[in-house]
Amino acid sequence: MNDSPYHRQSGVTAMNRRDFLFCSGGGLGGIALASLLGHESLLAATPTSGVLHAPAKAKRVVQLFMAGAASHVDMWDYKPLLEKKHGEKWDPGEAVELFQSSPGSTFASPWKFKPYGKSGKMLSDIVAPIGDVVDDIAFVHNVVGRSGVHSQATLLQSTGFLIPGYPSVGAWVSYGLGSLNDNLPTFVVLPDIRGLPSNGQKNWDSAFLPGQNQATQVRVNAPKPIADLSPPPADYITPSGETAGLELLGKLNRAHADSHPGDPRLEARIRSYELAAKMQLAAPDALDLSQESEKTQARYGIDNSTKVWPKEINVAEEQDAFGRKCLTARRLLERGVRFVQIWSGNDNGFPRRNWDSHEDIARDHAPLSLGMAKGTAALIQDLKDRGMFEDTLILWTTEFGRMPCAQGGKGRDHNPFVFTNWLAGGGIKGGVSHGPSDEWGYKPAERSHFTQGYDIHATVLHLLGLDHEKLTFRHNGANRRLTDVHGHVIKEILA
Amino acid sequence: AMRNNRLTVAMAKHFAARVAKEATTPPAQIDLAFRLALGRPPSSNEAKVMSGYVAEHGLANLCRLIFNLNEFNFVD
Repeated sequence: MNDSPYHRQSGVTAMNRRDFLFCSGGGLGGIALASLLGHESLLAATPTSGVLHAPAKAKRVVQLFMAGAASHVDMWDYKPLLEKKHGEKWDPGEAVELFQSSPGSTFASPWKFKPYGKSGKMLSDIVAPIGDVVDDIAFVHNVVGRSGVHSQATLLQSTGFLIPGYPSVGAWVSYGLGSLNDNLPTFVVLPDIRGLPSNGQKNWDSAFLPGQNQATQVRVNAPKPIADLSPPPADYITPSGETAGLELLGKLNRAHADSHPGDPRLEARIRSYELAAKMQLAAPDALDLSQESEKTQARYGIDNSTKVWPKEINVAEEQDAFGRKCLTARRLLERGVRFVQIWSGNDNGFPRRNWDSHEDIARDHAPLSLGMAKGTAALIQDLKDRGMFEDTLILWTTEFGRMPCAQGGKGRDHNPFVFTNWLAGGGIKGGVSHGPSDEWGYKPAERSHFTQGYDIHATVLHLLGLDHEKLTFRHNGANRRLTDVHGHVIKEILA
Repeated sequence: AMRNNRLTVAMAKHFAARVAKEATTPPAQIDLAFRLALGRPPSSNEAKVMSGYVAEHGLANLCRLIFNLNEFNFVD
């Protein structure tokens, strides 16, 4: 006699939906349901986990996302013409579409540019620390967006689509490659603890991919970095109750999953509990930066002495915040996390703590950029010291650039028509600059030659050993890809 | 989050209090908790392991466990 509650018995008053469909309509509803479930799950269960399409150059990725739109002409893309024509009416020879202003006068960068490294790359003073590693970087200066609105543009760079509902690049990498360990998440996001970027968690969601590919948020610099990792104090919760309870929960959930074949969510949820249990031990250790030497912490710009930061945005605080995220990222990558996504800057609020410098480029960009540059340079050098640089891919992104003309005298409006991304590490040719922008930094130098986020994503997947056209997931009748129906690998920046 | 979130932990305690008021013996309490949360009585095997757990760790812990079952979290 089958004791399982899921076995239909006469006299059972409670009937679940599955049984209802099987019993009614001559069982046709059940057949349709089973076919739907089986179909979706059969195709969903064709994971490419562990199966590569080509030899991989990199095993893991760290993405540095500047939320709010970092100004390429003030950081990476030197435009002497702006210095020459500063203050004059800005006229690029065509009508200019701005986000929220009319074109102001030509606005030279408040900072000086100097050459760095063997490649002699011109970098602004606010990214000077990157000068130490500039020969490892491949700049792409002709990235073109599809929207000048933060919401859509951020999603485009993080998920490959302008609208919500699509998996993050990190989720695709997790799906395609699987995990390198079983006690930490595959995909980790280190957000700016002052706030999330536009569209928040949709930027790192798994969407229609299996749930275990979504990111786990780790709020470095917060008192409790991982939410709800351990139970809160409660009079009825005890360590032995926890252990026994988790074991019993696992047993019951497995029995339930066995009698509900074809729903991958059930297995995903079971595994998330198993992972969480392992993380209770592994995560605190991974996040404990005090294990690192003072020399290493100083290299990343981490300041353990300051208890209270100034109210205004300032270099030291940004350095400390970003440095902690970079060092945490290195520790996570060392421990087998596949994809770490670091965010700098949050959604618009007051005072401004993001890169969206409409009012005052000098005020916001200097601290944010110097903080980012110190941590990033330290991360690259640290990965090299540990022999991890050759198989780690570093991707610097932002949702669009900023205009060569002034907004309100001191700021810059959105420029989605051209901006800069850069890559370094596994399989990337260092010391190169690909795809120039025009003399203003306004649009690509050759209007018909540009790079899109799809190409960056195709290149990232390629270096991980995945063909962006073959890494698919069937959803609602379509074979979905990170790159939609676009994307070419950028061969010029491959080593 | 379902397991360690403060809301779930608090609600499990409230759920246990309700069940303890409406049913007086552990077997009846387990039966009621299942019916309220999952829409079905426990199987005889489930009732057995649950009563062992309740005896050692209390009804509130059982309620918290039920909230974390896949069966509770997913619409069938």
